[in-house]
Amino acid sequence: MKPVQEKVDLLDSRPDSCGGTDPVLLFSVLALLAFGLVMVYSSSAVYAQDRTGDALYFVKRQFVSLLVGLTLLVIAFRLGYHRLVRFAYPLLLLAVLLLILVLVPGIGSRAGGSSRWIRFGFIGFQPAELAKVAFVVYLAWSLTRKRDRVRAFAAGFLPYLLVSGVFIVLLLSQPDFGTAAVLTILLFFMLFVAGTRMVYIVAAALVALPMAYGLIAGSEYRMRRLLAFLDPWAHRYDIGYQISESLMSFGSGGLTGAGLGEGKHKLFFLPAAHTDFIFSAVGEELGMVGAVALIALFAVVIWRGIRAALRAPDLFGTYVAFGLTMLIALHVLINVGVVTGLLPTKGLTLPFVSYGGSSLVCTLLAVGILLDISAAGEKGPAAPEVKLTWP
Amino acid sequence: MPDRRHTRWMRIRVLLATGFLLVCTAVVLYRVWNLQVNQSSWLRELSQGQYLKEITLEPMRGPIEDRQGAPMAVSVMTESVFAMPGQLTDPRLAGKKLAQVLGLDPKRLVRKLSSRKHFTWVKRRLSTELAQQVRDLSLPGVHFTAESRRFYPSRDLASSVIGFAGDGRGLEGVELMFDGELRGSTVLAQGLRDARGQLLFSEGVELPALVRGGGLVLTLDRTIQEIAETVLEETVSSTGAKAATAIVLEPHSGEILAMANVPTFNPNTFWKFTAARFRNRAVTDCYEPGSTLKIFTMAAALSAGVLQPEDRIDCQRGSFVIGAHTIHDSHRGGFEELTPAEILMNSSNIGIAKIGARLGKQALYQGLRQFGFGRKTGIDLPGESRCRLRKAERWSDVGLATISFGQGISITPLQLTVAMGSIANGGVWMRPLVIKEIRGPANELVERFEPEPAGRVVSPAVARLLTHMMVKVTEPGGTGTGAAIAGLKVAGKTGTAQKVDSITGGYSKDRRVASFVGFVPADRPRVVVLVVVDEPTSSPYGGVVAAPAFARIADGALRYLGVFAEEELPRAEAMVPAPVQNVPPKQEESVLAELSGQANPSPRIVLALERLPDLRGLSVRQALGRLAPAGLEVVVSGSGRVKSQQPPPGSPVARTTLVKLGLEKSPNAAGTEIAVVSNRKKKR
Repeated sequence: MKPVQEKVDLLDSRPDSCGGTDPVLLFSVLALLAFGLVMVYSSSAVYAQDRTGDALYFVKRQFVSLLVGLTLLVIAFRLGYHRLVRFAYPLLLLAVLLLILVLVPGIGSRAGGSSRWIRFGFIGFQPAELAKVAFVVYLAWSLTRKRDRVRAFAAGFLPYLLVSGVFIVLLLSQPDFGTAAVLTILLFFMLFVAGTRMVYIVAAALVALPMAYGLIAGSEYRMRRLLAFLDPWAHRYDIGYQISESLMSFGSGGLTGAGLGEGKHKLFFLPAAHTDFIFSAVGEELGMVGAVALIALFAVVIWRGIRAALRAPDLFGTYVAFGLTMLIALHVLINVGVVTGLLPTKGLTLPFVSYGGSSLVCTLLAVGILLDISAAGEKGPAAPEVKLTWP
Repeated sequence: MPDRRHTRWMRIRVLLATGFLLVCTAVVLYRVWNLQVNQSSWLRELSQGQYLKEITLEPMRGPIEDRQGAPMAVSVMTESVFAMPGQLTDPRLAGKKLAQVLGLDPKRLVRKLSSRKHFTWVKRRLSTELAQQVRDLSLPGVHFTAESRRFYPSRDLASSVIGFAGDGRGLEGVELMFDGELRGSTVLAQGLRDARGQLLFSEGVELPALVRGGGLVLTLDRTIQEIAETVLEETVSSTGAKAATAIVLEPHSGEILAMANVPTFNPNTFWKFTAARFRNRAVTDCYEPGSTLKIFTMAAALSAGVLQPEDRIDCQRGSFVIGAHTIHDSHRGGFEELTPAEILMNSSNIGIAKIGARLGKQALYQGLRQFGFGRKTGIDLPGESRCRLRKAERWSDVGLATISFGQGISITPLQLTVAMGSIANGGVWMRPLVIKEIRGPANELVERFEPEPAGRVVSPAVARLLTHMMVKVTEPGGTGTGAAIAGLKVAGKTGTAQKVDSITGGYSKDRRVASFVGFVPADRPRVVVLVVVDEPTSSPYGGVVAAPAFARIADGALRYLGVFAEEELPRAEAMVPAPVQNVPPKQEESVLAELSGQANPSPRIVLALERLPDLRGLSVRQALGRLAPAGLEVVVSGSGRVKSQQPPPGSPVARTTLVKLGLEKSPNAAGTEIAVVSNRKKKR
């Protein structure tokens, strides 16, 4: 049983200490969750009333997801991140399987030109959200196992390119360009942290960028999104509608905003005001003060995640913590970038805040793992001679 | 165990990655600042352009009142139902349900609701009750909006003067002439709308109700108008006439107290009438006046000094040849010599033609012109005609003769009334007024129309002289004895004109216009009254057809105004004015009833009673109200409701009739009358 042997070798074997939860991380996340519920209500009430007759429709659903997510958070925390090793490959396989299933007509349900959901009755699930977590866990464990061999092209680079290639092809088939991009960036960051030669990374990036452009240019809807991004006002009434509405909404908030619930763009002007563009509603209703406060709260979460990564008792913990934190950070940056017109429209949620069950549940699962790594780190690093901790 | 070097570098790389995140965050924060501070104002402008919509609020049309403040035209808030077919889940079902509640044709409604249109009216201007019934159906896609509806509480009363408004716009009459004032200025309000263009007023009713148009106070008096219309209607039906017009004018102010046209129309349902009915014939229609014009030929001659009251004029025994034409007098055998007064009294064509000849074409033309013939009076009513008074240069010799007695000239009834008014007013021509005041949205006074003298037409002496002559017309032996009112001196003149046959171009043998114009009391004129009856079939003569109508209108108006014959005055002065009964404006329910034709006719006030009504069982107040316009003296004894009346119901009513009302509870021990009440009003 080689994996078990490896596990003994590679992971810190000291007993878990209990009760060392990171309160800063936990409460930041809870604050984000509460804020998210309020904003989902504010931005979806009119739409929900119109569509379903229940202004609280989305809030209720979000709350159920939140409870499921918190349950998973607690379970993940209780199990301990070491047990993830056992799930690393099965989880990867499951994610790939689900990503294939979602493409099968009849199983995956199509919405807005893409099939991203697997529906069980009234509950929908987005395999892409699970895939992100599974990908991080897989990469972390794999990189831990290879340790110094990651510098070798055949062992430390090629396999990851192939695995992520499978993910990317599957994701682009949905199509879900946003998640594919997140996974690609995530891969490069984790390889970079693990010590893959920069040459490979830069070379891969040089190959990937024209490919990405080819993908964009080859798909009409992605090209339109790019054009809309480059000049939203010129396409204000067609392809640039969403982004210009978002800019108007966000910008009109000014310094202090219109006040909670006073936003006007949710009156059917801004599509997806409660999901991918919820940050726009935050900007309109709470102004720059609210937007910056929200970004600061995310910064706290990311800081605590990085802190957990640095203090993790073993390499696996560091990788997982770094990967998951990076996942959250990328989501936040890309989402905010899209809303403020810095990036083309991607279809990525704002973690903890946007309406969306799969994203919320998977992010809370990630937080559960992070909390456990952070708790383990309270024992102090397994290699005490390394003094470099941050902060 | 991970080796130290590896771990150390790894940590550095983690921090480098974190640094990258920090840089990205900095960029994002800069962008946030840029959008929300630097670009905020124009982005806000852009977005407000989307969701703020400027809505023009049509003010609620202002009211029109008579000179006593009685409502003649009011606006009531109603609700209109519209549908947005795209939002309907089941147009068929919705259509059927709506049709049932609103009494519409289900097929047509379903077709309307199934159309691809964005918006369609279902039914406009419902009562709140009916609107609630529709609301109770709670159909998605069916919406409400408040609209005001014009309502005329007294229906056809004075409708040709007031006109009507449709869809918020004045279309006829005063409603048209003062549309701007009544409509008021529209108010711009900002409403919120969503991306689908839907307005987001929660109720929408409150806002427009705040805005109101200005109001109008007419010079018309509801009661006198009512008297005039009732008399005209009876005259038309008893004489078999085509139409009739009457005007009551207050000579010293130029204010029109009544302007009636029969047949008329109900402005509440104006769409059911032909446009010809809307015409205010008193100002729009021209007719050849005939003998009534003789007064003004006479006036011009007296003013010019070419005629003295004691002159005697040879009337050629009824046949007077001018060139190829022969002028006749209608009196059998004609006359030998007549004084000017006798010429008017007998309405001699030959006599007046000779007077006209003394004046000459130019002087007669100038005289008639001064009285206002051939030009507009300047009344504030739409569609006034100037009619035809040709320039003197274009008159033939026989033309001079015929124009002297009112042929070959056309006038409006209003021109004649106003001209007569100037004589009644001692020779000063007053611009006729139909509007007394313009009020603002808060009923504040905006403009008051003061009497407007427009110059002296004849001297007071001539005016007095003419009055004397015209009094003779209504006295025994004159042509207008039918116009006499017992106890009062009436000055007036009859007119019987042949109508111009539009086919032959000559005068029609049987189609006439009978008229009477005059004022009363002759010595201190309170009212000038004109009655024009178009194509009466019973008798063509103004003295027969129009004079009695004149008498009834003038008598009714004077009683109402508190003017009594000399011998009645002592009693009249002791009397207390009776309460004026104003019919309260009807509410929305009756608007609907009105539209559906289910309304009971509004109770007409008892007027110039032929027979005494049954007053038993009524309250004193009601009883006095019924008797009010007839100007009967009422003596009441006791208290409570009316138990007995003397004379009994059905008795003919004379001017001096005293009505005694016995009430339920007997009077005090002394048995004397507790109250002597009359509806006669004191002079104002």
